[in-house]
Amino acid sequence: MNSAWRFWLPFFGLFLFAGCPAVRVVRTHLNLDDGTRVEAPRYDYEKILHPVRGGVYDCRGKPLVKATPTWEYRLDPVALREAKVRAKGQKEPRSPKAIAMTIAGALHLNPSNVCAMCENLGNRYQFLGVSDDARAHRILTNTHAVAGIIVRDSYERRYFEGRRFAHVLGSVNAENDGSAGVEQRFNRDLRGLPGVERGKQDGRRRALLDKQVELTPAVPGANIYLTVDRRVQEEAETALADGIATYGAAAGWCVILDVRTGEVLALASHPDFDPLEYGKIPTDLPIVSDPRVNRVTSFTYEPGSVMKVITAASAIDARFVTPDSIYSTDRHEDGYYKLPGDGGHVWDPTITVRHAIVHSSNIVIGKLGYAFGPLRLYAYMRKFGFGQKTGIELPGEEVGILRDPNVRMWDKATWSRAAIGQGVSVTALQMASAYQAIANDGVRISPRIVRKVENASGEDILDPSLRADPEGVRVIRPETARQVREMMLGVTAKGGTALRARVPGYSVAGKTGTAQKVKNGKYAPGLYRATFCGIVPSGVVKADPADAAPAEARVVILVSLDFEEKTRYHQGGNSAGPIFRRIALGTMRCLEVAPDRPDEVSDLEDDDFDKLMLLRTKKAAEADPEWDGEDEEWLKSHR
Amino acid sequence: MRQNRKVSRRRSVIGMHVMHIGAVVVTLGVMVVLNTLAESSCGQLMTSIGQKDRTLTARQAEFERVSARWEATKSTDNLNRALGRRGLEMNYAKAHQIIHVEKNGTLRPGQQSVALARQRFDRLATASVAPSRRPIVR
Repeated sequence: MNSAWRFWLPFFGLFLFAGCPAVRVVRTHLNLDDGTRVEAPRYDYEKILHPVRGGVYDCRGKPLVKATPTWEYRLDPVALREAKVRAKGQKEPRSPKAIAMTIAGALHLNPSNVCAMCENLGNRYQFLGVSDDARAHRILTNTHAVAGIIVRDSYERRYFEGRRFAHVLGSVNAENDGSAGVEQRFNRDLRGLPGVERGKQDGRRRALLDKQVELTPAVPGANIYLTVDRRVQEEAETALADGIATYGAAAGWCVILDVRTGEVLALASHPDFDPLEYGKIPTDLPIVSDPRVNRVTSFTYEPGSVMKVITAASAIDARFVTPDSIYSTDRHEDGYYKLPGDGGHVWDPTITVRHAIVHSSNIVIGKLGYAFGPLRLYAYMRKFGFGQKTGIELPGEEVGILRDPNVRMWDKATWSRAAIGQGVSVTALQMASAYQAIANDGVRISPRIVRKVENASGEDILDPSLRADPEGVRVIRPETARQVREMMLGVTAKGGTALRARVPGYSVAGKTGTAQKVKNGKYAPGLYRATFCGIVPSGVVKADPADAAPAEARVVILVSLDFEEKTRYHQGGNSAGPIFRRIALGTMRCLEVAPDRPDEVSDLEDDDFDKLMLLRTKKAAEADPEWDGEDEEWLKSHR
Repeated sequence: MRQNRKVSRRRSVIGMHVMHIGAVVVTLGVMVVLNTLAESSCGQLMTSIGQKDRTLTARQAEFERVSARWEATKSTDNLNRALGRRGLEMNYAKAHQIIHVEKNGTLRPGQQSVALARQRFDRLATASVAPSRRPIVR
């Protein structure tokens, strides 16, 4: 018996030694634990590496928006209460109130608010703020000054120009996804790709580099280089904002295109928004006061008389008329259906097409369009880019309304009025693009706002389908384009409709437009959209008579104001014209374009531009709040 | 003698083996020591690299922060505000006050400033009285 017991004892020991772990393994794999077991320290870790969102730059490489590293601070009031914070050389610990004051001072918060947060012991993760101030960070991470602060590295989207460029850049939401503008259109490129880091860590959760299993670094988002020029944009936005305030408009928009490349140099739309507060904009605003609408690309309207240039260019190109063809100004002439009136203007019995453009005669251009016919007019309008997207790299571009008479013939009203810009809807960008074709000797180049999308390796990854076609599409013959520009020169000359759009030193080929607004399906009396679209320099004037060719046309500028109330400034030449003048002056200076009318020396007194600058400086001084910088002494004492 | 000779040969063989084994052991020992030293050195390097890596990341972040702040400071509104705060009223130069010169040293054609200067020069040249000492540039 004894020997048997001795024989079996080791086996029993072995069974206990091997059996207990086996039972444990079985229970673990069958998930039979009741959840009360204590987890072993986790030495394996996996970390998602978040990519840095790419930046957006202007054509000169100046950053417009960038993700900037910041620190996010949160407050744990319980930890603050329990910790004993002693300043260096002090025996007594600091009181929670003193700590709260230190926190408030470092982050420029209201001390009473921070004190209240310290009292709220129920919430142990209270948001204090985000800061990129290294001095504040040193204070808030100094264990001799504060306690209970939770710091997290984060990135903040910085829009360096504030509201400027709002409709171009757009905004990002809380999930770091683009909500509008380039941020939305190129969200995938800007976001980048997340990385992952897996490996072992020590008991204090520090990664052990030699035990790293996987490290796939995050790929930072691509940087986007735009065609817009920060200085030109500033000129456009400032002049537009001042113009809206001066003339009492409800909204306004402006776009500037480079004639040679079709690139957008500036794009402004008012009302605008603060990109950092895009989500706070109410969603039930009427369209006229909705700041989210990009009125250059996403808003269609009847253009009015600016369309007359397109009609005349089409008819001249088709050799249907010449600039000197004579038309009767009799509105009731037989053969035409309900021609539009000329607002009480009394013309000579007959005028030329040239005069009809210069004086913006609805009757003559209406007759011209009527006689030219819908099919041909439609074909030319399509070639000029109406009724189709321009392909600009911004979200929400509208097509406009241009019905195809081949599918369903235009009614007689549209037939007689499409030529003068009624019965068709366009976007401002479409109109500017059509004028770009006229300025570029008849070749239309689709407008573009993105020049390059550069990934982290420095490669340009812009989708080839989004690249501008430098060859463009020929719309009209070069001689037609020159003839039309010559006609348009008269608009800003004496006797034209836009004398106030004249730019000293430069020739301007432009056209005014005063389009009645439609309310409840009818033209509302007294409510207008005023437009001026011009080419500077005109491209038909020689700077010096000895020159072989005229000075090259450089930019197309379109300015529109939307009036919600009756005003005496409702005409394109009276309101949009002066704004155009300011913008054109600034643009010519920024682009260093030499005047093509150097002999036309402007008055050397302070001109509008100086007044504008003076006003701007005074406004800035008035708007400047009291110096709100950090208290240097206080910071030094806590450093 | 013969038997003795045999014994001594066996002893020498054992001695040789002992020496070989000893050499191997010593070599192994040295290798272990060297390996330990190398590992320790690697560990130190690893710590140092990790520290430098963290410093680099922090410096890069600081650079980003400072450059962002600099860009924000240079923004148009801030510059205007700064000018206003100091009571400065600055205007851009007008077209007739700017002379553009090409890279090859020639004047860019069609400049208001040049035209104005020529006009004045012609006026002065054709004037019957001698030109005054007053500067022609306003």
